[in-house]
Amino acid sequence: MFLEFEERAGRNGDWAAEFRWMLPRRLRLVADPRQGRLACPDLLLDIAARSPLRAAIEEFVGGRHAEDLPEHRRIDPTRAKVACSLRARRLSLALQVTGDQDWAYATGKLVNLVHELVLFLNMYWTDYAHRSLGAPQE
Amino acid sequence: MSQDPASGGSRRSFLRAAAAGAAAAAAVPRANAAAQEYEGLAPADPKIPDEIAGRASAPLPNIDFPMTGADVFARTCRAEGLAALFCCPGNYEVIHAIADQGIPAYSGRNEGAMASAADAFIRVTGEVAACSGTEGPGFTNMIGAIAAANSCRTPMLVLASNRDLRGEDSEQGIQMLYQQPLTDGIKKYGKRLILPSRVHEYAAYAFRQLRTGIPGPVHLDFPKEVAVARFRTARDIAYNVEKDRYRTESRPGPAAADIGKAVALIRQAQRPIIVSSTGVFYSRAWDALRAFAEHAQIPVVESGPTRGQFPDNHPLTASDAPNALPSADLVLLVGQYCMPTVGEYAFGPDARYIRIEPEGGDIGRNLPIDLGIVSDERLALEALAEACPKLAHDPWLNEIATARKAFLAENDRYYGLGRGYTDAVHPAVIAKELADFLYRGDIPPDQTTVVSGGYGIARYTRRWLQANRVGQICNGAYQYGAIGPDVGYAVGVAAAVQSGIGPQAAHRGHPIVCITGDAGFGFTGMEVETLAKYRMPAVIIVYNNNSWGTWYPARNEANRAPLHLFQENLRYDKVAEGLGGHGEYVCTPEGFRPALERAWKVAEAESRPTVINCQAKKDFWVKEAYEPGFLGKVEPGVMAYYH
Repeated sequence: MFLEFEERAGRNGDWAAEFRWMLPRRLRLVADPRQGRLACPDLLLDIAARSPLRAAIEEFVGGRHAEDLPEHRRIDPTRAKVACSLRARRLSLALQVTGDQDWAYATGKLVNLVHELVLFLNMYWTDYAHRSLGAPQE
Repeated sequence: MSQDPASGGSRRSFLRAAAAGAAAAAAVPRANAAAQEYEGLAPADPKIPDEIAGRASAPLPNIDFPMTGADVFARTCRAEGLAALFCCPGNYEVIHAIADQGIPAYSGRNEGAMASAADAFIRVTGEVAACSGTEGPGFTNMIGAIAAANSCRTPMLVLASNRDLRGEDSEQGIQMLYQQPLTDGIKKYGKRLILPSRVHEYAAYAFRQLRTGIPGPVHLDFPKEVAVARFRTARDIAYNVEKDRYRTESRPGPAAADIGKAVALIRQAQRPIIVSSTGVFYSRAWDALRAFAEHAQIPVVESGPTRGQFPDNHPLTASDAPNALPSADLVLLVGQYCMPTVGEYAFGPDARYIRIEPEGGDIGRNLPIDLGIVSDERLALEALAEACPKLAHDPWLNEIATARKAFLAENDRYYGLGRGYTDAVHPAVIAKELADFLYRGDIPPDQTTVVSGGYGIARYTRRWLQANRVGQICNGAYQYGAIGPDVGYAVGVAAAVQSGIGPQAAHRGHPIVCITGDAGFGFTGMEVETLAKYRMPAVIIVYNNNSWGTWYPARNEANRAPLHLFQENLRYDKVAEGLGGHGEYVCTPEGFRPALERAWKVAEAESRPTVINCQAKKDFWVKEAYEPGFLGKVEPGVMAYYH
């Protein structure tokens, strides 16, 4: 599923991968085992700080911990906690790996979260999807 | 000041007089028309010519040797059960020969619209139909429709005349064009006929391609020498064999080992799903699909240019549960000829894929597979039902039911918002009230065949439309994404229902519905005349937002926005009346349902088309001003049209 997949291991035990998937540009996944953090930096571009779009994304992302979600769709907060951050109009996603330190679990959940977030934007934020995600206008 | 001898006055007074005269001259036609109207000389109403009204009872000529090349070709078409011809005049020898064989033939106002009509006819019947245009401009008018049919994988026979071979490359006369290269990439097979004696042989080629494998358009062009060639006896025709000798009805079946692997994958999966697409329709696999889905309790979601092979009101449908799709862990793509790329369908990155279709050359394209099965779709589904044990997936089905409930609740919310905008007709009002009329009123919910066209309006109407039986929805322009063929599609669908062809048999004669936008109406709106002259009962809903749907991203750019706008408040309903149809103009939400009921009465009682011109606002696409704005979509399912 992931095209042009490239990975590299860092000097301090961190790890990064880049690949093409879902978006018109390459995605990055960065793992920092020392900090227990798995991130997708600069996932979404051109997001204004005080905007309904940012609020909607944060609500969607935060909702992935909801107890009424099926287990295979939910991010168990006792195993990984998700957060968004915005800097210079670039939104990043990150999972803090907690509990049993299951990095495979965290990686699967982060990748699926990216998938569902793009579906969400294509569904409810068509202007943004057209401008920034390469969605056709028609 | 100079004097003008003609007026006897000054140049200034001459110019004033000239201007007054010009205005008076321009006013004359209007004054005459007014005089006609008010002095008892009202213009006559549109009238259907007696030749059209009485065509069903017109005797057929006895076609026998000596025959022309066109007659030989038409005879082969009849033997193959060619179900209809849609054309504009041109390619005269061939279209006349086809009509003389008693094959239903329809003539419209534009070759492109008629090619779209043929495409839609096939998409709701499963029968092969033909379109035809004259050489040169008639043929090139069909290119867009052929491209759309190609993306739909429609087995459409494209016929066009060509100037004579003697004048090749000379530009002698008019309309010379070398046709075949123009359909490269948008056809399954094509041939410019050269040797008249091989006309039957190439007709056989055409029908072999139309009726086997993954379907697609077939393009034959006829130089004059071929069309007018005379054959004294059957011995003059090369390869003159019957259809059971020039093609086979045999279909590829699945290898037992492949079925075994598929069953193993299905048994491992917790949330399997079947995507029922184009191949299920053309292989007539809907009963086998239903039997397998019910046996293994696997939900089904639809994709493709025709919907209804798995009913939207079946308990196992997942077509209206988009939120559940990312949960699927095994996806069986059955007959998915127009293949999405990674990420275009909503299934998650962990999903595994089984692809089933009759040719191996496409399996594995765009989306990596876990198992490919080369087989006719019906035979594969029958084998799966036989080999697979009875299964249960209750938690998965409950998840789908929850997702469906959320989707329908969202529809209700959109309707509530739309109904609150009282000075124009919001698309959610059209979508919901049309659905209530078609599925929750006096009309049986599986009766009305719908052309689901339009662009922005379709983002709403697709959410509410239902396909409760085979061929109930013709899914607009599909992956080619053309704006405008919708009223052309309506001609084809209306013809299919009027004659009760294939899956439309049980609904013969009932009105059809076509949804389009004002931009789309501009392309094929003249075909309202075609619908009227053939007495085809169609209700055409025009979503009139005074613009191309592409306006809203450019709305704040002063130099760009004008490129996307029309005049406001245009009266497409009056165009319909002038073309022999009925017109309704709706400007408020409460006006839509009564207009729909009136249009239906006209359709049922008079077999005439109606245009319901729904006056909307272009600003409805602006989310910040008119929530929910322009809608997105998820595929596959009810909202799908890309694949």
